Amino acid sequence: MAFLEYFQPPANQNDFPNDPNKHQELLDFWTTNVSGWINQAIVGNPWNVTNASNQTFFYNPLYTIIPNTAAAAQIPWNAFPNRLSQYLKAGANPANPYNKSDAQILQLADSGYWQKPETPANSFPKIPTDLCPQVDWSNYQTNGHIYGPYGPRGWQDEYCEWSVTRDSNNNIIRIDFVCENSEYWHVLWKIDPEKVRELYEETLNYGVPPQQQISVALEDLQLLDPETNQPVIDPETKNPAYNPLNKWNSGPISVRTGDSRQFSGGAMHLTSTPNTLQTELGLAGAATVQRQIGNSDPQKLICCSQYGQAYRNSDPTIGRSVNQAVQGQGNANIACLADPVGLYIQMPDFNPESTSYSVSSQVKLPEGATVGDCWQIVRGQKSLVDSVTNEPFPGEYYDPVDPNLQGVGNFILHAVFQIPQSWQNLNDNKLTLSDILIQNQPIIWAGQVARTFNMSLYARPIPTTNTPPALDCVGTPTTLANQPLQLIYADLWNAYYNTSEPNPAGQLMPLASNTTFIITRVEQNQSGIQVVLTYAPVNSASPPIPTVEFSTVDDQNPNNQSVDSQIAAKVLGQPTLVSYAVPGNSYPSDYYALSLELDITSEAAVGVRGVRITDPGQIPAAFAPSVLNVVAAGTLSVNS
Amino acid sequence: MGKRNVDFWTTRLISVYVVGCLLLSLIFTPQAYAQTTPPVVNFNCNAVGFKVQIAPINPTQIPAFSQSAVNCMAWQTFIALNWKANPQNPGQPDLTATAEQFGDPADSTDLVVWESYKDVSDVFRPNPVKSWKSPQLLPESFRQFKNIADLTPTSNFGFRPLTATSKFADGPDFILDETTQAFTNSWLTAQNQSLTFYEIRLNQDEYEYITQNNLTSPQAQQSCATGNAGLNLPSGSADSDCANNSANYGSDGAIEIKAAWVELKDSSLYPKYKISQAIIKGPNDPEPRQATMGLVGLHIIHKVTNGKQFVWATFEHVDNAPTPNDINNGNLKPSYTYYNHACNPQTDRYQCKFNYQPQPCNAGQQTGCDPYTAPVQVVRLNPIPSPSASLNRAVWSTITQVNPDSVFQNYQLIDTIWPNASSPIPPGATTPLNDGSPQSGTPNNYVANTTMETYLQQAVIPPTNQGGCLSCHVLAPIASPTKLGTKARVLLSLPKETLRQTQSNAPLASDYSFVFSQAQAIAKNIQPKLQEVGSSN
Repeated sequence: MAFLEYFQPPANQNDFPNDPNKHQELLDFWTTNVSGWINQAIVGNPWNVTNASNQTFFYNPLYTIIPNTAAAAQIPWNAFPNRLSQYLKAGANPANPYNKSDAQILQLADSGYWQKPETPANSFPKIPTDLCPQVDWSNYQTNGHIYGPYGPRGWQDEYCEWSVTRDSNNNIIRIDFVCENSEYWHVLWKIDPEKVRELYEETLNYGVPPQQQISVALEDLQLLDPETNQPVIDPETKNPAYNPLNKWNSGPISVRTGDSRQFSGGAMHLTSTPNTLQTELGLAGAATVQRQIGNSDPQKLICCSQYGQAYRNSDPTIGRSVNQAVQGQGNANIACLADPVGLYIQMPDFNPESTSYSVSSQVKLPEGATVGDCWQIVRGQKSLVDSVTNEPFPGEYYDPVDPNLQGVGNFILHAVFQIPQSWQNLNDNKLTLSDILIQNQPIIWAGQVARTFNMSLYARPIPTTNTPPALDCVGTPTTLANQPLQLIYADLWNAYYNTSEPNPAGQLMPLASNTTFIITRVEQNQSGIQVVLTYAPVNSASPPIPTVEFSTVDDQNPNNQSVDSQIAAKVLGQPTLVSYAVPGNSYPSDYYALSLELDITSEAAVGVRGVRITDPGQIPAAFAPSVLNVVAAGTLSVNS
Repeated sequence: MGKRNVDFWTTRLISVYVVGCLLLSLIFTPQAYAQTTPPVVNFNCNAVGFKVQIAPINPTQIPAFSQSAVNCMAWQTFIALNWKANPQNPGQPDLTATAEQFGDPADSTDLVVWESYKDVSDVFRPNPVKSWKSPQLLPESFRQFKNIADLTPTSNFGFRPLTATSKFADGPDFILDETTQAFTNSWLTAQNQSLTFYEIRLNQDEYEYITQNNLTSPQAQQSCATGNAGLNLPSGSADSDCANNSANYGSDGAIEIKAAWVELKDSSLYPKYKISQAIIKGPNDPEPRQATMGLVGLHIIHKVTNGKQFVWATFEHVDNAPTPNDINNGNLKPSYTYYNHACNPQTDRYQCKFNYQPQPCNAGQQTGCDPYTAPVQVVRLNPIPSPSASLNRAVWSTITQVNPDSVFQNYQLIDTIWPNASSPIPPGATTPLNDGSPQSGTPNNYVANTTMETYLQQAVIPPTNQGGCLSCHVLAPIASPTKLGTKARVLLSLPKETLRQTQSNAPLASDYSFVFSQAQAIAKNIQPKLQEVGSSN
């Protein structure tokens, strides 16, 4: 029995194997943030809804004793976006008006267009916004919106995204499947941009013939000011900031033929706006609440608890499974996601006796080769031992050779599906993935492969003697409060917000939608700090100038209500209307942004704290936890 | 296994149930099983606290929403339903039987639990509906045969008739055709030239729901489907009748069984099969006759509280058919029931084509029809996925340790389809029903039993355009009180335009079960003169 000391990076990945100091720095940074997101999930939403706050059956492993008998439970779901089928494919229930064929759905999943030419008219159409108790198509043309999430591969919203490389004959030669969260890469960039560049290059060139290899420059990954086209400096690190939708991590297509100077595209981490780790934790926290309407129907739960997005494979499954983990089988549990918190790709079934994959009979194979050789794990691991139970995390992977890898879960972060060079050598370098068949059909879309594997995460329930109350559904309170959202350095916000994301449907989508909830760091005794705080105001038509206060350190007490007088926040001007998808959300909405100037005294305690926004005459509401991290004076400049 | 059958074993269970079983007792039906420490299968079910046991414990919930967990549930159900039946209490296990007796060839004449379920023809029939404990009788159509008086009951539960014709009446429009595969109007002939026979049975929970709500008539089905609760088969707890009054039909939830049997002409095969005696009447048999049948396929569908779209599990005998990979790699067993290693295209009726679907004679056609005796060269197009295959090995290992002669070490789970988004059927629901986002271990949910979906192993079925059981069963209608209803097997052959018309006039749905359309067959075919023959009394 023990408290967790650190949150490990996803899959226990160590990207600084030769630099223990930087690895430790990453562990510290990562732990602070994951703990902060868990605290946000525990607090829930006490501002503008009812029955969705103080979610105390969600626990923070840093401050909860975990018995070594507390096994983790795998929660799997299929990687192919279910909403494409639900809203657009023929045969859905409730029926949709689009009736796209399976081939069109696969083309849409791979490209964002269901047919050529690649124009918005051949991209995503309008779908309903009325999704409860089930999707209602009766008013979608007037009340609906264009299918989202927007963004260059926003529709790949099952926490698995992919990018496809084709040859000059349009045959697929490589697919990159990724599930790494964006937050990790932002953190890594803050610690060591050169490491990020190096990992991009290594990963995207893995197993690639020299003529198709890319050269990644630091400049390729930097956030540029949309007006000056110059790198934007992150005030926290004094280095250029990271662009999550950079040249090598944008869209579903990797160009690797022709002039190498025109090479572009790739997939390194998740980019669809709801595919964030902070959201995954928030969803799990919200799902711990038991409901009076019953807890076994995932659609009912998602409508009642208002977490996640209906009709995904992922969110309703995660929500229902966490909910049932808390409900327990006889005894109730508290629950959290198991460390290492992350999203993981599971292996397709390549066992010779059971696989649905085969190789075209014309292909010459090296001795002992199997189709599984085409699936290459570039980041992550086939299995992990759970540090709590000292047993492998359970799952549904059965290795054809290794007796120790039977019924285990995979911890794959980045997998590549491509023909091994040893096969190419025997076949005059002419093989493509069209020479691989799934259920006797040649692979012509990456989505065919995505349908053959699951994603998963792990929950860890711990028995409790308390009984979770069954609450009514989420509703609207009689008194609303301002809901704080994101706190970001002003320089970064301005650049992210004023940069538009490309997307097939041509929707307006600011790059701010691809920022993160990584806690903004400031130093003791630092003044004149320019930040932007976004929020959902009570008065959405004309919000007054509010006061902004920060809490005392809230690490162990996310419901902390004490104001920290050592942090002064001056509101600069009127709230400004902004429209973007708050990271974790699928669609853009209207919010307001406050420009703030912060002054931190030398007496301010080191640690993470929350923020609240109070209109004149309003009773102060709860703090939103984990938005600002005060670090010791001189800490940040050391990093720069 | 239901709560209503409280007997002294139940009392005993409560006193002896070990603390470690407390968790499982909430997943499993309260059981009266004498063996307090049943053998446990060494397999990680990916569900906290759930293990497969060689015991008559019927799960009443999906233990966790993962493929391995549902597969474990399926095997646990298979074990419970293939437990020796209580001879005095149909549908219930013999709780004096031990794990060592599970599948013991020495007990081969004993029926197992599911075999004591009610044959669907005894449920959807004119009044009076037969009581749950009444023995199964021979069908009216047998009255024409001279040897009828010579036939004797095949078990203490009565007769086990398996026929090529309807039990209700002769004619081309029957649905309960026990040699015709679902949705194809074709049949399956084994390599020993025997036809494959089918039967459908319902457990007591479903039987009680149907009979207590009088759902054996099309009119009552319509009233029920539009009633306050709709037509919702019971799931074992918090159930209600059609009018939404609380009702208790048992604690197992509705279970339907479809079994495939083939005559074992070679008695040396008996120790490898779950065998039973049946009265069979194939199209080439001049008269009904008793035969020893081997179980080759078993569908089990089970409605549970957190699986309102049912859990669909399918099992097969291990010697049925190879996969194309097995054939290409030379990884073949010595022999198969439905595949011939030495098939000669020059002499084989179907040129050894894989899964060739025999064509019946058209009306008036005298020659050139495919014969019932020509074997079909069957291959399994969708390999058994790893989670099922690994679990099979683990279960076999335990069964073999307990009884190395058990016939059930020769049966394998193919795969399980389960609803990831379970939701109840709303009142007035029409077809197609919500499919509950079905999951399985097989890509595209192409889950098929080579003995029952031989020709549809990779079928994509309109209007859902999906593979797998639910893609078709979402179309299951109630019986039409006024006209010929939508028969599932006909749907597949309808042109698209006709199908759209069918959808626009979508019939009320019957909770994924095609058995309800049998009420229409009665309305159409049954004559008042009907009397059973061959009573066991």
